[in-house]
Amino acid sequence: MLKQPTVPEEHIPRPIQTEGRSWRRLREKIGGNITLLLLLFWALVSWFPLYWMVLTSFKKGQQAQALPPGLWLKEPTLESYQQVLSSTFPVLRWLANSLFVSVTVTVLGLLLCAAAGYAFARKRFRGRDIIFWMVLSTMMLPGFSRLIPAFMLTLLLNLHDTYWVMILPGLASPYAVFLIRQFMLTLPSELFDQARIDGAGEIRLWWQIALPLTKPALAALGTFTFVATWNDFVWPLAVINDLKLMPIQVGVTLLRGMERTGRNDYPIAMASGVLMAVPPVIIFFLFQQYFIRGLTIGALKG
Amino acid sequence: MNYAKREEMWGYIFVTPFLVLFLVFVLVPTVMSVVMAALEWYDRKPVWVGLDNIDHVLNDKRFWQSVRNTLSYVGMFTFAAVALALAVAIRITKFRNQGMRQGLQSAFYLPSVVSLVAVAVVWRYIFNNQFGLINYLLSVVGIDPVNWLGNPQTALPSLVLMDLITGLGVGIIIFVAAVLGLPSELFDAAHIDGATGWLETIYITIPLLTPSILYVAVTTMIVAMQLFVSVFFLTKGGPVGSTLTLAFLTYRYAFVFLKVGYASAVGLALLLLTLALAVVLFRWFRSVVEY
Repeated sequence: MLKQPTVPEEHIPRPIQTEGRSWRRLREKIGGNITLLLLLFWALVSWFPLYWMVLTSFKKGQQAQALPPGLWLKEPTLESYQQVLSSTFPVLRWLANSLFVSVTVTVLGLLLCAAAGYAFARKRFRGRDIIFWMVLSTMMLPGFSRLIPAFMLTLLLNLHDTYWVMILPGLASPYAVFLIRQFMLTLPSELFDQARIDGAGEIRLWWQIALPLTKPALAALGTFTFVATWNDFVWPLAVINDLKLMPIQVGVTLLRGMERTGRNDYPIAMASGVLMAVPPVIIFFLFQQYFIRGLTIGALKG
Repeated sequence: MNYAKREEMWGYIFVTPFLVLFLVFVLVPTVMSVVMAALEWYDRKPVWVGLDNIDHVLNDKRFWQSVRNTLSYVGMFTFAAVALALAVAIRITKFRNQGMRQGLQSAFYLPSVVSLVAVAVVWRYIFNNQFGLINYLLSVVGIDPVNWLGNPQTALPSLVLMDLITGLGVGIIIFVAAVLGLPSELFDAAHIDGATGWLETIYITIPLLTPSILYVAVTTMIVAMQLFVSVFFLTKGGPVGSTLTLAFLTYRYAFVFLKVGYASAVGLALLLLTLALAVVLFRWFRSVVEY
């Protein structure tokens, strides 16, 4: 039991001094408004690069170098989008590749990790805790240090320049398994016992009871996985050389104005940027409440 | 078959598909990252070279330069990101309206959804020394243009600035949730003792948030240690190596100079350094707070 602390003399509430109080209130009000302004300023600053990207993508080549820079849209043109999409490179195919890989990794990855998370949370088997500990500990390692080993491994397996090499490594996510396990630990066992008495098999227990109840975590992870896979750059850069198989992130590096910028290339580079930014932003708006919840499950329950 | 045996069998069935992929694509590469530092590759065939690569790396000026750069980036970014995210999050929790809070959380998170490739290219434009926006704004108030990415003194801090502006979302969301999850009795008690506003934040909120701060600091640090995309698009490690990072060096040795063994040794250094920093952070936080 905690000992009840004795209240020091100076902390005993005194009759309120009205003068001091109104001062304090005024000060707090001003302080609150200043910090509010700073907050809004910061929000504006963090959105600005995106605004600037969209705005510039609708400008003509020379307009992008105008001084003073136009902060609003005058005479919008789709010219740079036309140039991106009609370039000699298969830009639409790159977008389709990204979409295919991201959707596949999301769906298959969720199934795999939900199965593993279920086993770690609700099954007893030998080695369970050691395996889980091993999975967890890899979360603390920088993925970049696995880049070259994974590169050589997939090279020796002859997987380079295939869709497999973009899909398979993304499926086994320690983070997803951890999150799903944490979530499934909280499910009441009575539900499972009852279903078992009613004659449900093991697969049905997982598919019809565990999974539906884990929906919030799955939705959060699904959005994360989609966004992370869509945005992944280094791995496909290393293992994909075939123009037709490139995801958009890697493909755009070949477009005009991406790696090095010539004088009139900014609108084209920005249009490419917009094209690859749109899908994750849409996904974000559709699933934002899950996003926010998912991030906090991992951090607060861990 | 008895119940426990069946239970065990189904446990293995559910875990195996994940485990196979985990072994092949996570665990084996992790172990390999240690072994590969002692190998050199000739035409897809590994040759054991012992400590040669490591010896090489340790005697390479560029390696030490990238260690310094990486650490100073990580130091600046982690500290500033945690502090800023915490400040923003605490201000957000002062709103009584839940919808308002969520709206602000989303607003701050959105920029981190956009791919780093797109973000990097916009920033190259914003940092441009002739018609970039920052230099234009400086010229309005009468300051000479700065060659942000072309000057060894400003290049790395420019990358820190860019990543701070887009990369706070996750921290903010975690901190907001953590503050809202604190027991309100503590705040009531503090109010009775006369702590309000700043005092409350400094003496009550922040100490109670230490576990979340540690979590955000460690995850931010791990991501920052792998700084690659902005270097790849904005500076290519230059000028004069001032933005060379361990991740970029690893990549360049492996895929541009095709020295896989050497690159593996740099990658191993990245791994060990990250682990060491994580331990330091854990220790430091433990010494700061007495639970």
